[in-house]
Amino acid sequence: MKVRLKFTKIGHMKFLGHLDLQRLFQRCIRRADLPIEYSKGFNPHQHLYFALPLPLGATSEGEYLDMNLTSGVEPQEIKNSLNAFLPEGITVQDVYILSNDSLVGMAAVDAAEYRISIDKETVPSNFMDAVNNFFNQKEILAEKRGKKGIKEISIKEMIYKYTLDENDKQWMIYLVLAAGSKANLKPETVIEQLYKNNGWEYKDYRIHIHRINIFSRINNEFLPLSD
Amino acid sequence: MTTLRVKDDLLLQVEKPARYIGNEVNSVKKDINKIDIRFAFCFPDVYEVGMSHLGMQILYYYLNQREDTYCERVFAPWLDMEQKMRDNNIPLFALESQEDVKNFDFLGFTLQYEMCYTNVINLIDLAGIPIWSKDRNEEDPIICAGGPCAYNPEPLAHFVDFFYIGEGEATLGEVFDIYKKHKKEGGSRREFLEKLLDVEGIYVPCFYDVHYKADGTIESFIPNHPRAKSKIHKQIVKDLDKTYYPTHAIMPWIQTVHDRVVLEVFRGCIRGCRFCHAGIVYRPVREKSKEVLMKQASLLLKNTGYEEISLASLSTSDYSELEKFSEELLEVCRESKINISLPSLRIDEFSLDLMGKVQEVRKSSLTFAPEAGTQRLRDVINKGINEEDILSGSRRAFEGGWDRVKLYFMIGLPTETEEDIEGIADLASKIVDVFYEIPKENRAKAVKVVVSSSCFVPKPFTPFQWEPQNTYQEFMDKQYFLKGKIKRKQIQYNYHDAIVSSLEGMIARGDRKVGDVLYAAWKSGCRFDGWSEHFDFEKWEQAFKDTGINPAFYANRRRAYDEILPWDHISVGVTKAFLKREHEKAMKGEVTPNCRQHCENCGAKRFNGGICYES
Repeated sequence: MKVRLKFTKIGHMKFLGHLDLQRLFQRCIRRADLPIEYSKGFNPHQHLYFALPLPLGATSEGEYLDMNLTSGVEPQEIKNSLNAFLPEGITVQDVYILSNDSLVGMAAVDAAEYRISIDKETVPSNFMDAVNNFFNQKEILAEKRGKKGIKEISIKEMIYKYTLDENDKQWMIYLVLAAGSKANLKPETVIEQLYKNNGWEYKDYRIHIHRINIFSRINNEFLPLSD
Repeated sequence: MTTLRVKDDLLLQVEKPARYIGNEVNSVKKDINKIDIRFAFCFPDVYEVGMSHLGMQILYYYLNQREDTYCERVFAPWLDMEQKMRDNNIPLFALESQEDVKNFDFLGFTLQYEMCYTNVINLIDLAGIPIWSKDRNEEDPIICAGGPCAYNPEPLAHFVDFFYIGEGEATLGEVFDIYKKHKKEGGSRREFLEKLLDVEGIYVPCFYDVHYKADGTIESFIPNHPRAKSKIHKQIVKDLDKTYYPTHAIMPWIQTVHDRVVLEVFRGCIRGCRFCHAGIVYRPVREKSKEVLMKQASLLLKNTGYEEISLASLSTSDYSELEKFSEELLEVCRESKINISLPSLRIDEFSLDLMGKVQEVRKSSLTFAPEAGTQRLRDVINKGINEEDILSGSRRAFEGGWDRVKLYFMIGLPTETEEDIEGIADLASKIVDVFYEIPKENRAKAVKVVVSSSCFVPKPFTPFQWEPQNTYQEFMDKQYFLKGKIKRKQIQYNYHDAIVSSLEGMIARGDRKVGDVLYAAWKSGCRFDGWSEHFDFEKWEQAFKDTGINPAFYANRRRAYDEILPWDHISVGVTKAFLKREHEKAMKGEVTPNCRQHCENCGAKRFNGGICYES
């Protein structure tokens, strides 16, 4: 039985890296005694398929993890038994049963939505104009650090949507970006380039990235992985 | 959600911020308003190292069993975090409550290795507590320390208010009972320390005076308080089956050195290798029954979700029920897909068979620890392993599919000659020969023999406690000599710069004066000295110069049997007379049978338990 878990990673859990999160889930799944499928061989390990790694420091209300179970368990039971062992900040919100031919893990991912919060006092007062100008460029080039050094890439076509919102203290940029194995754009790459183009000093610890949801593209429509 | 002591933006600027957030799965949460005693268990190394330490996990749960006590954890912040803390005036805090340890009742340090001593000083300073015991006042926490290095407490005697000598589960609770009553009744810090003089196993350094002779050796070591004991006896638990053992383990947020269930099979070691500190100070051997082990194993696996279990002891092969126990454990682990890790096995037919079952396909590497290259020197150190054992073990292993052998040796053992060092190369070469004697179809294609040498550090409470350590130059010359003798391409030789071992040798047998060097080294910036990338010998050299202390006096000098040693007021059970006997036998190359073969009356019988009373 293929199942998909939707979970949160909020609060102090933002300090947990992706590998640490994987280990945490492996151990909680064991404690919850779920009939998870193990790899064959002499050192069996669990097959866990995370949709998209979240960078350390970011929070999320829409993370997904797929796995195979060797026998049927009620979604509600999976949720309750895992939540009994998961730490504060990581909560399974829903469990969905997938059809056997569903894509799992990153293969199912096409886009992700983010909210990037920036304290107003850390940026100049022309922030709104600068943001609009940046996203309305005909072409947006960004520097990407790869194995072969820094190269310039065009990112405009990987930004599916942007909106800007504000409250008393913060600017909030909402982004829907290409994600997954085909094309992947990290929100920090976009924001860093925004800062660079405007000559502002970029420090990753001054912005806060929050992932809202992860999507699949089905018939040219973005649907959350939970659908 | 607990408010973190360090703000998010600072945490995001340091490596592995999860080191500092606490609240791990299986950590203990308590209502601080219902607590009488707040205890900060300090491991003077980084999170990943400290979290791997079994003793800390045992004592953490043991102390937290008490409703009146909250034991929280403290690790040494990594250098990047220390800098942030100092820049932002954030004092040392405990992981659980995230509150400053300055307001705790106790800071308790576990001393696992000498090279963490500058971290001990650094943690006290980061907490905002005066470093020197004498400078602390009524508001400051009491600073105590225990663990294997506490058996020679003198190098830290000026910084620590009291030492606990022995196993914490034994009688540490008594100290807490006295403290609780003392706190209720009201009384000074000094009065509390005086009350501790009536407790067995507690050493309060300020109630003892040391006088030195002109040559620097100790003239006298005498109590300056009428109730201070002249001998402080190690405290131990007699029956491990009936002793507290945790059913949980705190699940570290990040990967640690030993990220698995650790099951202690027995304490102590029957072997009596003459260089080995642990082999003496953990005497007598006390085993757990197979039934208790199986119960503890299944509870720990159930309550952690770990996918691996490791058996811990000084020499797992010597566990008397190993065959039956390993069968049962294998059965359970196979069913639930748990890996077993088996360190410290002696290589024989049984253990090879067992390892084969445990590792199945990963027959990668096999480890022997002959420690010395010739039988003569192995007899001197009482390492009960001979060349035939090693060669036949290797042959069996090669026939069983292994293609890699690791060999551990020590350089600088007492009485060592060039012949002994050359013997290391010869032994490695013979193992390669054994491999090629086996018909091709019955062995792997190629073989690798990895020889590693470490530098011998004479330790207190061993038969070699009177021996001079090799100098740095001698160590390096010997290692180069060995390097020149190893010529076959199948043999790889690993060795290290001897400088850390030289320093360790000086601190391990240090007296109170050594505290000044530790302080000076810390003051000049030394921390994490056990981490080669942070070890800065120039700073240590300067510290010796500034304090006028000669490292050779401690490391490279032969002591006379009648010299008062800095740790003579501590008793680990094993008598000085036995150690002297063993030293004399070592010089004659005579071996001593192990505890199970014959009792040599080492003194450990005084504890009324363990192997000394097995029929």
